[in-house]
Amino acid sequence: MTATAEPLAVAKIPREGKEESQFQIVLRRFMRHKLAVAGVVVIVVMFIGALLAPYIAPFPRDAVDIAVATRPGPPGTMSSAGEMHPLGVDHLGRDLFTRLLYGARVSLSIAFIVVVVSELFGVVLGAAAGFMGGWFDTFISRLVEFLLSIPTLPILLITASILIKTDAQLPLPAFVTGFVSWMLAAPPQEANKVIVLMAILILLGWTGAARLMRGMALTLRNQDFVEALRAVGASNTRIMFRHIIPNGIAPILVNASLGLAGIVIAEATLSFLGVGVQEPTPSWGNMLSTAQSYMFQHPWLPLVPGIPLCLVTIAFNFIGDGMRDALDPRLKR
Amino acid sequence: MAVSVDVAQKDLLVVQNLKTYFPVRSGVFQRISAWVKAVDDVSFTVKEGETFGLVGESGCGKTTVSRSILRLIPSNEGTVFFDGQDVFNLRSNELKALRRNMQIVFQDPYSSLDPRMPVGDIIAESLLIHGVKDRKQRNAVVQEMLAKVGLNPYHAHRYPHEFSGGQRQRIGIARALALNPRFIVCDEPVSALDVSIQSQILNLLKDLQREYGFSYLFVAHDLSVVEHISDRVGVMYLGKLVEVTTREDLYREPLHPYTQALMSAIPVPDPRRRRERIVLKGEVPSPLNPPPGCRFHPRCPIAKDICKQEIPAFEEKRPGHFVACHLVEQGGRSTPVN
Repeated sequence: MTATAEPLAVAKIPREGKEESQFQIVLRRFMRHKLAVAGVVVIVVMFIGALLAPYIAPFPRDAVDIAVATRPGPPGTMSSAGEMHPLGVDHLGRDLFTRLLYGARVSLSIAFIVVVVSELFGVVLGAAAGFMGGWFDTFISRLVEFLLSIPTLPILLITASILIKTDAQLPLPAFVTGFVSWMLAAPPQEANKVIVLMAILILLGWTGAARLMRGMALTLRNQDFVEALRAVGASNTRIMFRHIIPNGIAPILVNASLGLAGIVIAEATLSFLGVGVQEPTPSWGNMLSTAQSYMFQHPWLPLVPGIPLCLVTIAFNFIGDGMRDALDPRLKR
Repeated sequence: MAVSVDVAQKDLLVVQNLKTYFPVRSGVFQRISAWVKAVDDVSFTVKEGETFGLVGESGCGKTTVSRSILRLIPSNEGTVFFDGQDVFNLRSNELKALRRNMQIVFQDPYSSLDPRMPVGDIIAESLLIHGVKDRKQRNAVVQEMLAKVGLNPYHAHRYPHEFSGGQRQRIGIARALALNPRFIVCDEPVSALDVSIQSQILNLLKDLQREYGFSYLFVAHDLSVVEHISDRVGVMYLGKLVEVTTREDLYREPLHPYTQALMSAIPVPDPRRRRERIVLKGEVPSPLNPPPGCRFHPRCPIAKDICKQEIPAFEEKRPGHFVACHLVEQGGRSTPVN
């Protein structure tokens, strides 16, 4: 009966037939949500396009063709070298399809990095606050309330314009800059500016996850299984990371997928207002921004970045809805 | 620092003058404005290999006693010795070592198992915490424990929601057994189960005790369950023990008026037998502001003046029979209630 005695029992625990893991159950329920599956398809297509941007783009990212017949030019415009621009050219004669692909890379990378980092922060801080309580909980909760009480757009505008116009650099190790620069398919100097933008979005973005996780931790920490873990002498870290967080993660995943849509929009908003991603780095937001000057003569221009932006946002929202249904613990089948 | 004391060899657990109060906070600054005296001066012992039943109505502090002993709730005063070790004065590594020997089975079979973990991992986790690094060894113990509590080895891969209440309670017992403890707190382990399942679980607990020889502190409000499983029984009322004795003595001749009232309330499955029921008047007072003197006096059918003024001592009125009542004579005649 002691742990050390009797190694005679079989070391591998036998299985009885096939059993569904929790992941399989969630996946099966998610697949029933047709719009969410459509959302996944849209995102996957965008992703492949973004990932393969350097290989499938017909022109170099910043190649300017001033000899092209009309600038901006409609879809199907021929370049001076006789190649076709499938979505036309912008006011500088740059190929819009190429910039759309690179822009997807930039916009989606920003969304993913910001959401992953801020949800991680939020989850750990929220779980710790709810689980430990006391002064730490008070501190985190007040901080979250403080951050939420600030209207987001003005503070984003102010901080972004200060930091980006002054060329602020964050003291980050080279591999972080290298990674982001690869993610964006842009040179490191451009990546640095985007990192500043992401840092601002992260600092303001972790609060939702923290609040959700804190609430989950508050209900979970009073459950008997946590008491049972204390009774066997489990450390706080183990209880938090192995039990509280896995049990409270479902609403966080939903929050994250909705957050992706939010960040894509936030980046587009900032770039549109001129304080987000800076030229020549393309993003859907700054493409929209340049398009607005020409939109009355060239109405397809804003549609080039606008339609994918719209699709991605809707897709992320549908995925979020699908996950909410799939992860709902009250539904059994 | 662990302090060794000289206790009789047979006493595994000695609880002395245990007091657990919960602060009531109020106002802007969350000042402590009052104390809920959940457990107020409770002393008893649990011997090696015996089952000590703790009964009382809800809110009387039975659960608080059990959690205080395990140091899951901090206590204000008093001492608990486990096998001569002072439980309240241990370094963290000593406490962890002690936890191997003291385990708990919970009342609610639904919230006591982590819903996101397969049953095998739940049972194996305590082994992992106590340094059993080898997965094969842990798996072997998991299978052995599942077999001991009457489940199948392949159940280890399932999640708690796939089991019934009784099966979950078996899993909870398997988890408590995995570390081979010497003392298990059973906090109302059957009160959430159907009567037919209750007896299965009670018999399982008894069989396991016969096999391994550990002691139980069995907390319950169901008198017939306690009679079935206990060797000795303590009766609690409003944070205090009013009577402790062997099961036979308690059920044959209860001395404290509260115990007498409790006993008279046990249903007898015989429609022709007329019973003298003692109906207590009033409600249990709040432990925030317990009555002075004997805590039972406002509801006691035979209370005298002394009961309103002096707290009765918890004395051995007969050999092995402790009672806290002014009106029970030394040597043991109970004052008849009716």
